[in-house]
Amino acid sequence: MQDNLLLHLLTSFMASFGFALYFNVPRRAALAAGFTGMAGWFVNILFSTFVGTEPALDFVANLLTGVVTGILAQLFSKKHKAPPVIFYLASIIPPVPGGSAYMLFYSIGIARFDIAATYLRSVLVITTALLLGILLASYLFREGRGYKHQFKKLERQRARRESQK
Amino acid sequence: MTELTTDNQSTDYHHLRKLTEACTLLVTLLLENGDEIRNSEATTRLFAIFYGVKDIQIFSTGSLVAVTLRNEYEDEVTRSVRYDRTNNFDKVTSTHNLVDKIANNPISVDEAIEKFREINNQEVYFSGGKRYFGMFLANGGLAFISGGTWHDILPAGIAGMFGIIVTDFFSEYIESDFFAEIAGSFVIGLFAYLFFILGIGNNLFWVIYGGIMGLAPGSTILAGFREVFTNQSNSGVIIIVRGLVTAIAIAIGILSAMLLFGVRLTDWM
Repeated sequence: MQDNLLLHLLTSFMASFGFALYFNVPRRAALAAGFTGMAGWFVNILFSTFVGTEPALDFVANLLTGVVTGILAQLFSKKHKAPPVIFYLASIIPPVPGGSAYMLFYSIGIARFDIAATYLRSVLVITTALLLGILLASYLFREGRGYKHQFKKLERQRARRESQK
Repeated sequence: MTELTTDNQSTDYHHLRKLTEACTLLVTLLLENGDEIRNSEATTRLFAIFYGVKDIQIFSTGSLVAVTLRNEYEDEVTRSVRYDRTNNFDKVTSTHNLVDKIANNPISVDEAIEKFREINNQEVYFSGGKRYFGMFLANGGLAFISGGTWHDILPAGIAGMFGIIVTDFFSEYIESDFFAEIAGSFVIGLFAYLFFILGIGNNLFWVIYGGIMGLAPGSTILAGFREVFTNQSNSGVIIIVRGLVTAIAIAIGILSAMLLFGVRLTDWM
């Protein structure tokens, strides 16, 4: 186990909650976004502690992070009656490769293309894995959100209005 | 009680024009404040069909949206709007709640336009100070998460907060996000080196790495790839390119600060 797990949990909550404040997420939803980010990062470090940190495994670790974040975001979006994007975009921040994107161009700037290649790989792999996880989670909760459902709802409302006249 | 136009009544040209204005306001509100593109288009389409148009076409890129509505007499109205993509999720939430409310208790188009304008003009939920405090928390936390030690939390947080403040200040006055981000990351480099001289913080590389996280385009690149993966390549490519340009700006800013002090950042990795 990580020797400073508590500090990891605290800082991942800080990071997600801070970005939720910056993105202007409503107040109670901001706490939920911070909690979601903490849970996602917890899964990530659990995976890297117990399974391994070889380069080929980070796709799986981030896929699991994405799935957990996506599921929690969907659950919170039901609870707070808000679209799920406001939860997952702030809470995906701890694993997201923003710093890698900066280091990619920094190492190109100092002509260290070996480092640049590593960071380019991490940008592409981590982004794809996280998004795949989030999309998988959103398909789990697809029921009742499709067009057919919406149109049926509209039909019912129209019938109700007709009967009221 | 105002008269309602429902699906069963005809939509004349005047009504169609007003409905186009309402749809444009709705889709711009959602896209401007950072909602998913597919989601905003679907919401707008349902809104228009609910008020009785025959056909609606929405064409959106990362910075422009055009809405075309057609009624049963083949009258057509098109309106296109430019917008700047930001993240302001409070407005997204209130817009979605308003559309839900309209679907349950229909109101007239004029009232809907009025309410969309109200949401557009409403104050931001967290004031500037709270948002910068959020950036302080986020930068400090990310400096530790990415690989630093707990000594790096405080300097990275302070440097990142000042970087964001400088970027916001410049982007308002010189109207170029690229140069504003270069200035902001240069200030982050200055602050990180200042803390390094004062002996605060453990590792210059991780202090800078955490400090630039508020400017770093991680969520922008993620959002761009999300649009590409959900068949919205037209918008997605523009958003990804914007994210990469931000990364280049940050790299230029940090590089010039490091050149100024003659620091080789790769020694610290």
